[in-house]
Amino acid sequence: MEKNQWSKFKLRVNVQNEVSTAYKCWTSAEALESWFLRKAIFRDASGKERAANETVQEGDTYEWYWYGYPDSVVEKGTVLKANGSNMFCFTFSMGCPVTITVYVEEGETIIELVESDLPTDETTRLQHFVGDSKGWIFYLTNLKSVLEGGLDLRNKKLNLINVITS
Amino acid sequence: MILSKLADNNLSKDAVPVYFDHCVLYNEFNKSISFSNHFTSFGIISLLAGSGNFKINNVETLLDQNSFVIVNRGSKVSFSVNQTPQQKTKIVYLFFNHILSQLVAKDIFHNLNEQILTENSIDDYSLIEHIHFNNASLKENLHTLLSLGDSCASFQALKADMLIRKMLEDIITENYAAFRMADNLNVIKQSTKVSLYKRIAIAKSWMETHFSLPLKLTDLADIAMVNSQHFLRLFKKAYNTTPHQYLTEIRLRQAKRLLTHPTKSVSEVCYEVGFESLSSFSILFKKQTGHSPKKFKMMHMLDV
Repeated sequence: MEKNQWSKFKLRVNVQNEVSTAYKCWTSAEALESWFLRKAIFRDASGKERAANETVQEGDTYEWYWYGYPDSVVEKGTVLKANGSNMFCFTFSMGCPVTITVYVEEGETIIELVESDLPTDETTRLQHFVGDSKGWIFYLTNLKSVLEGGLDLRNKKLNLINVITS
Repeated sequence: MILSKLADNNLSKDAVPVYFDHCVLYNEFNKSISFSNHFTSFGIISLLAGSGNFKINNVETLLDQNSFVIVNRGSKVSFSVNQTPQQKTKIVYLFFNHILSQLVAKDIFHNLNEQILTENSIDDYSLIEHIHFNNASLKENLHTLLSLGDSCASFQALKADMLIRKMLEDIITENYAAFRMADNLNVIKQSTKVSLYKRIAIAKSWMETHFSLPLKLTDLADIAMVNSQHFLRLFKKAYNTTPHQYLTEIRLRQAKRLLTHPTKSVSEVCYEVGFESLSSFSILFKKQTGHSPKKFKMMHMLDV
């Protein structure tokens, strides 16, 4: 791969749901906990915690906790954009932006995830480009499964480690 | 996060570990090892099994799996581990990224809106560069970190980074508290202030681990290597409480935790946390919580 090709990756998954349903999976703590996180906390610009079912807004900050890990493993970031219909963007690994776009293609709803601005040094490539894309592949697959009425594939046991499902 | 193997240096007598920022070095040794005096980065040295003699800036420290040390950037460290046939020695070195630690420190101090640390002292961890005892959360975090090192878990590198950042935040917060406490000692000469603060901090850390023993002021003063009256004065100045009051506070905190255990009786809890008399335990407990230990336990059982 060219050096600049390590600075971002794009993943797409098709789901048999409305665009609005797929978009809402990203924009409240309750929705994110149904397929992605053990616990999600969003705060508005004044630092006030949003209700679990409240729609998040641009400028909100978040704390995300994971199944299979204690609360000391917490990702903190910011919502960069939430247009209310089909685009949601937030800071993630190393502060890099992750942009979610939802649209229709060939009659199916596509959820597209782009993680960009990744540093292109070898260490970051090995750890974050590879590690993050692997992580998102699992979670986007789980999102499809949950959205289409299938199983929640996440490992929820704290003592079970070294599995791709958590 | 990078998980690397701490070199087995027996092949070369003068070998020292090679450090790079934001890394975890780990190895298990089944033979005696030693590393000669060398400069380190800012981080944590811990043993998950076995024991070893560490020398940090020429001060000797015996580390085992119930203790760890924080080392300052630029300090000189040497160590030797004598292997016993029964148990392997497991050493973890965790070093923090220098720029990240500065950013996190500035962020924490900005939020606290206080100006105790100057730009020059923000990198100075000499006050907390000493032995620390039995930190259960640190141990759990190190185990999690090592398990992430060669894991196929989702977002493995990101999770390791999150954990390292959390540990870094805890250390920076502790360092900030240490600066405040050391300031209370009203000692002008910096080297004396650091030395005195470290001595009482080690004794305080010892109390937090050994609270169930019948500790006396002279025992604690011995750990701090000062006479008992001097220790008492220093402790009061630094922490604004006496060693006895602090010990009682730790015991009551532990008692509250143990009383929520369904099968432990009040008297079992009383003796387990180090009180010698059930009546004085009950009086102190009620004074602090507003309820007798028995009522506190019952209330918890009803809540459950």
